[in-house]
Amino acid sequence: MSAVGNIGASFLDRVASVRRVGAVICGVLYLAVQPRYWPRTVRERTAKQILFTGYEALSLVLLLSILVGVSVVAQTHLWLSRFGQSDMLGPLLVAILVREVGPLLVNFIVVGRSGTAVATELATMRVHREIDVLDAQGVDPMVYMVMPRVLGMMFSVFGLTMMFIVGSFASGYVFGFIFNVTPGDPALFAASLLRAVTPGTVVCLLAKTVLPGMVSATICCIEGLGVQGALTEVPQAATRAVVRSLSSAILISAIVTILTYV
Amino acid sequence: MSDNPILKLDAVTVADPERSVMDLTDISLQLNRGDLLVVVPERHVETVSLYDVVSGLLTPDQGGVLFMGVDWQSMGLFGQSEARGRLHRVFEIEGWVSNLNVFENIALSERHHSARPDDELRQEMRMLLERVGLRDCLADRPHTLSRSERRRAQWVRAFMGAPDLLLLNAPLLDAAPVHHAALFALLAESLARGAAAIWKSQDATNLRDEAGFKAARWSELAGGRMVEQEKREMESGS
Repeated sequence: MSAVGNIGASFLDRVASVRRVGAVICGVLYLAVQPRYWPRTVRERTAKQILFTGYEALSLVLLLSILVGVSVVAQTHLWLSRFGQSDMLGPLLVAILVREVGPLLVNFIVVGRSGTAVATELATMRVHREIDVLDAQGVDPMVYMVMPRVLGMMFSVFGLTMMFIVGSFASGYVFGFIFNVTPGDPALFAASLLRAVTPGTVVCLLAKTVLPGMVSATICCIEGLGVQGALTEVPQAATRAVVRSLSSAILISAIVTILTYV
Repeated sequence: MSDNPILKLDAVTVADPERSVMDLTDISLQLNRGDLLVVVPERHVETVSLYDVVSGLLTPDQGGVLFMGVDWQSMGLFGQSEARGRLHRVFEIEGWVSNLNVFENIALSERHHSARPDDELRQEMRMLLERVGLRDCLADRPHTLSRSERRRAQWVRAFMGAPDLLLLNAPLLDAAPVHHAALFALLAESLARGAAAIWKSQDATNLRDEAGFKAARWSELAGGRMVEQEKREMESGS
């Protein structure tokens, strides 16, 4: 095949992948709004997924938020005050942490921690024909395996991002207070941050947490369930899932940023 | 109770040279309440397709499969899942979800398709475990059990919750002869209650000797065709 042909084939392959991910997400949303697809087994699965992806990652996210808060919040205040631009603190921190760094970092953590687990688990189940066992019992893998993971990761990414934002602001303020670079009264600091939060910020935050959360989980499920039967395919599927999930998270973040500022 | 046969296969053909499972050719059968069909496959090949076709998981190339009088194809996805919850299966190879414990595995179908309380399920499960000679292993993971224990735990799963159709694939495999009577008793009770069953195994001689299953129909599955043994014997006699 010619070089142009290769590029064309690769492009068509990417388009097909995007369509597949879109179809699965539409399927999940279609199932999720119908109460009959929420038996207790699925409710429990979803709760477990949130527990695993969200709650169990909380300590790591909070630790990271403290480090980011120390390095970003305190430093931003320090430099802005030196240039006499302290009133820009709120808008700048919201732009950096709420719109960009927070969602992206949390997505990375969730993909690295839970995305690999989801892809590996589903791929192993596929190799051991456990998916067939579910199907034979009338337990639809899409309802029991995919939907809880997609929704669980979506809610977890959003919740963890909120915790990350709060944690980084709080730790940045406390660090500044300890080293005497405090951005003033805590109420005023909070008010300046809240003033900087516009409806566009909320939409941006939602888009950068909900969308990548769903897309990453869907990619991991597709890669995991796409394994044909050899155990050696499991790590390959996990690697592919992580790379594609991270790429999609970055891509979605960039697209949303562009759309926000257009 | 519906008068419809529990299962009806009408000239079913599954033929795909790409597939690793055994082909099925022009198979017709009907199972009413209380019927037991023993299927003896010709050799040890992967005969998944028969049960997959019966369960509506594999669409035949020709013919139709009716479960409780309704064609699988006309049920819709939700209807198919619900219907599959009424047919319970013993898998030849394993058949466990490794990240669930024994209770969660055995109760999965019941918990997914019904609103029966967990306590009630646990009570029925313990009673069945005792009948098949298993200790209380509900909190254990399946892989911690021996092969014989896993096989008997599969029996418990199959007989939980009064299924309409039992699909037993080599159910005695790995189970010590001392436990066979428990399975025969559970099967006889299910048939008396009004369930139907297919018992597929290369070696089903134990079943032939059981007084409770004299009315069972016997078929050989050879070359993708199912031949009832009485007919075959008559043909070979003539």
